[in-house]
Amino acid sequence: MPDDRRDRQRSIRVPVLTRVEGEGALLVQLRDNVLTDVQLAIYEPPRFFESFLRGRSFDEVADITARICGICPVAYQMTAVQALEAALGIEIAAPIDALRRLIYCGEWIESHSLHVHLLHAPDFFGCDSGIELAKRFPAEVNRGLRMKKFGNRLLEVLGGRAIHPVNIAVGGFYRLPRREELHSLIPDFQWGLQAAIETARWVAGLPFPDFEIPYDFVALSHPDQYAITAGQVTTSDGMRIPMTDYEQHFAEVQVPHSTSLQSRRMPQGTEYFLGPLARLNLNCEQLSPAAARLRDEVGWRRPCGNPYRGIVARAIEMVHAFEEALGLLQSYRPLGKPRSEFEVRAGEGMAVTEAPRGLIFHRYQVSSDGLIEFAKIVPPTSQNQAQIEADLRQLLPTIVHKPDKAIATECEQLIRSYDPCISCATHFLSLTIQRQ
Amino acid sequence: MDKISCRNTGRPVESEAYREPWGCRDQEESATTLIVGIGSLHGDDQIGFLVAEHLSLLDPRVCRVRRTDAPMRLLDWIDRFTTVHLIDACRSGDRPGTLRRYQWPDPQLMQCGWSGTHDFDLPTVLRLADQLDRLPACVTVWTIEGVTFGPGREASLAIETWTRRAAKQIESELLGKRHRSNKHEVTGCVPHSLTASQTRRKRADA
Repeated sequence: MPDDRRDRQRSIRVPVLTRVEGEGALLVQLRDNVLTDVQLAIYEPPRFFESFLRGRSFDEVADITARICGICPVAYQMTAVQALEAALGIEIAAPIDALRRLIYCGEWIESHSLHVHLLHAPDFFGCDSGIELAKRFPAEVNRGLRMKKFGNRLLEVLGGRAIHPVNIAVGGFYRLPRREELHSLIPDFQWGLQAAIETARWVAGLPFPDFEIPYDFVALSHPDQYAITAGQVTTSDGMRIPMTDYEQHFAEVQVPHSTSLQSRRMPQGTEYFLGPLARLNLNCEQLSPAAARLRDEVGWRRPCGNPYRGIVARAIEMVHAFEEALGLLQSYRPLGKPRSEFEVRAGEGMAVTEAPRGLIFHRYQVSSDGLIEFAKIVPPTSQNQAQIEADLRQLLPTIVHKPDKAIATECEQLIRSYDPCISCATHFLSLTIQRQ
Repeated sequence: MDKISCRNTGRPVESEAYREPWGCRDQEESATTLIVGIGSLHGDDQIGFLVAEHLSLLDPRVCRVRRTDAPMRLLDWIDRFTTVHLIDACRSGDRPGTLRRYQWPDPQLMQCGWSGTHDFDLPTVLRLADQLDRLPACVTVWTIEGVTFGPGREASLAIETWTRRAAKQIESELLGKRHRSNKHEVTGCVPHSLTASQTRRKRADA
């Protein structure tokens, strides 16, 4: 290429995104220092989970969908069983619903602790890795790992194991834990609550880049609780719809550079933002008392459209999760049956819950003999992907004067603030065969 | 080959703990040695699980046996142990079934190809634990050369032979028996160099 053309055109490639789950890359193209293209390229092979589910029994779905992710399996399991319960017309008893919130709190704790301490915090201190951060802040990192451990322990006790739990069933649980099993966790969660408060104070003081976007936030909202497993789909422009209307307002589209589908809000076809920052912006009145006090103490103001402050939102949610879990642990009594009784019947159902990274949607059709005829799974990372690319288009014009390495680093930091889980996102690919 | 089954329930075991986490673990609280089989259920990658299953028959008052597909889980488990044995499949071009023994920190360990979620492969997790002064005094990594890897692959026909041989060798070491030594087969359980945390402790003591 002639020198003058090379000077005018710059391609910045980040071949492997680091400190995210899964395999993704970033391509930025500039011409005369003007951005011409940006692609968050997810090249991890598609995983075809929706197809695997067809023809399988409804009671296998929770265990199969758990395998989509080792960090947030409960989100997949919980959304799957709730969608199937809607399809089969199953009512869930309040104590079972409480246990489901409890195990979900465990997953939020373990997932948020990992991201805050080892994936995201290093960016604010110029550290290349969690190990480098651990060298400078061993107490903080050890505290984060201990919180993660307690989240995992809750999953073990309630779910049978920490990664891909085996105790979650359509209608409830296969087994209710004994009272002493859950009560034995109380001291750890009392410690965890204080530790999460300290963590939130720590991250609230980080130096955040000056970058604000008027996001279209989307999250579940519930009038009586910080929405995790129930509520209505709510947006920052005031839309409030039952979860059964989700597909009328949000659609998946395919882009050539990614094995993950992207989602758009319909009919306008715009991107939207999910996750802790969206939840805190839409639901901050429903936080637990300690989390609400902390929200005020650290000066959280909404709307907050700075994606880097997602680390503060995550930390406040950890406080909420520890406090809510603590209350549920203390009040737990193993009363009643672990599962609701039901008859298998043909039906269709859908559900939305809040995974650590944001809203997740499942829809299933079940035949009269209990086999899955259709499955649709929309994970949070595929919904956030278009918003990440839109953010990069906002960020890049402000940093194009910097060297390529610095641009690549800043783009990676922005992507990491979303805590993307690429493995979750890549489970569908539209295949076209052209025959001549 | 047969699936691994839980000793208590007979049900297939697919991850993490051999003993039900709901079960009584009082005996295991006294164990000072942790054995972790690392891998997955795909092809020869399951050999870490299989060796751990063999070793789970050892006295639970001495050894706590676990398995995982995520090396990060080690950070949840290692704190109260003085000795840790980690068993994983590898693919380095060696003769299939070759058992190698590395005493942490062995530079050759870093050169093996590793994988793990969020960039946290086994050496990274061990380095992080070391940085945080949480690494037990003696950490041994055993690798067994595999052939078939990848989702849905069958294990090699010889995997049971490799499993028995590796389990026997590791058990010999655990029981204090002396055995043939070569570059990566060190008798006993003495680290050949100080870890970062040990060096710091030594300096602090001085």
